Amino acid sequence: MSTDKLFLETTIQIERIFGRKKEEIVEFLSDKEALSSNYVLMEFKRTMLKDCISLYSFLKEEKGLEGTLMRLSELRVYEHRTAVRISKILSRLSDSNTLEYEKVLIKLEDLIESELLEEFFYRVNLIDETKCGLANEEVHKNETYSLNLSCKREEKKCEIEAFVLKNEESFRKLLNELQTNEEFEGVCNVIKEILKDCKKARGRKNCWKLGDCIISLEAPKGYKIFTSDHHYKQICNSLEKEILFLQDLKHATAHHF
Amino acid sequence: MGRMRQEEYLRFKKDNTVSLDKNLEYVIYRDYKEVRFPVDDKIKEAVLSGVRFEEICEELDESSSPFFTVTQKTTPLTPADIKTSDLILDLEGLIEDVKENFDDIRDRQIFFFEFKEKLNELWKISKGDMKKTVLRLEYAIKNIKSERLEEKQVAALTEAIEVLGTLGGKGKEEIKKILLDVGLFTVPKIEGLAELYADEY
Repeated sequence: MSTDKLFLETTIQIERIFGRKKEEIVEFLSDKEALSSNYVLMEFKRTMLKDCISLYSFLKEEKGLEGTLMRLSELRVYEHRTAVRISKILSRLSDSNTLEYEKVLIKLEDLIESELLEEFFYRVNLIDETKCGLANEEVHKNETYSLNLSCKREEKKCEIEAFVLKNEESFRKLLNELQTNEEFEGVCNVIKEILKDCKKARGRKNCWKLGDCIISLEAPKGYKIFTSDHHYKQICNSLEKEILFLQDLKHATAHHF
Repeated sequence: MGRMRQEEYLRFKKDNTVSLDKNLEYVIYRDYKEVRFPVDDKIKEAVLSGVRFEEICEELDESSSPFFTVTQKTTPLTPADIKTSDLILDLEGLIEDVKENFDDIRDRQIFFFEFKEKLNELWKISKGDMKKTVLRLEYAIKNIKSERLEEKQVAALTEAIEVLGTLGGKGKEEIKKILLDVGLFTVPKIEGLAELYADEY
């Protein structure tokens, strides 16, 4: 097994851009071959990019930092996790509200229009096993920004069915190994569905639930999956794929990985 | 044209008398004409060998210049362009000061602080991609204290300002790479964000 090839999963892409340990990650990856996938890009867009777009829209509507913070505070009642994430982004972008409103807006514009993706692709090559159409969706700007990431089973925008057929054995293996763990109950239900009918893998409801499994399967032989998401431990064990946790990075560095 | 004149302005400002006309519409160079460079090797050689730019200009017959073509001024630099160019020159000078005084922690602090302030001034008068590019630089260094600054980062900032002077806003991506390569991040850290997303995947 090669020791300098890594497959970057979505949480690592986010950690690499925003994380507390980003210096360590960038340094660690500097002499490694880093790979990621279009599916990871889709996950990145539907979370990170979408949240930035949403924050921009709130800022435009409220026309100020204070109003936006109040609005986000109220939003916590309805959509707690989203509100917390967006508040965190605003708080750091505005340097705990010491920066002026215009500066935050311009920074967000830059992040949305190009900077997030520049960071995503920095020293990383991409593979595309699922041909996910959403990954290629682009941001449009009118009054604010929009990014259409709708995905319905009846609209074919990818080749996930072919991916399921190609990896049928692996999905069966995953089902056997994961069904003993309650945490994966939802995932296993979807795997059962798609093994009966691979068309059921299409559409956000099922496909997104299988995200961790799909990404693990995409990682080519010889690449360690680099992640900070604990769900990958059991998935990778089932698939006999090697894994490196961000939490173990110091250990890996000390042992020259 | 504008870019060409801006480069020209930056490169040869020290060797030319540059002023603005009363209505602030034109930049007045030596002869109120726009000089457009085909960037001929000969002119580079002449400048590199120590011949002053003004001397080269004086020796040339404008109509048969082997070095550069001369046209009537049609697209003058605006006062904002001049201010931008001046600030970029200041930034070049300040980062050079940081470099030259790197071993003196007091001077390093003073010059690096001035560099940050100047960057903010440039942000205020910039527009479009230029504004975004300047902001990238600002985010990259706003939380870096001079005492923690590394020499390789000073070298990267020198290179980044050079790109800014040459390409303006079009150098956005290149500048980002230059900065990232030395651990200067243009996006702030947001602790705990990835954990919040983990359950979304």
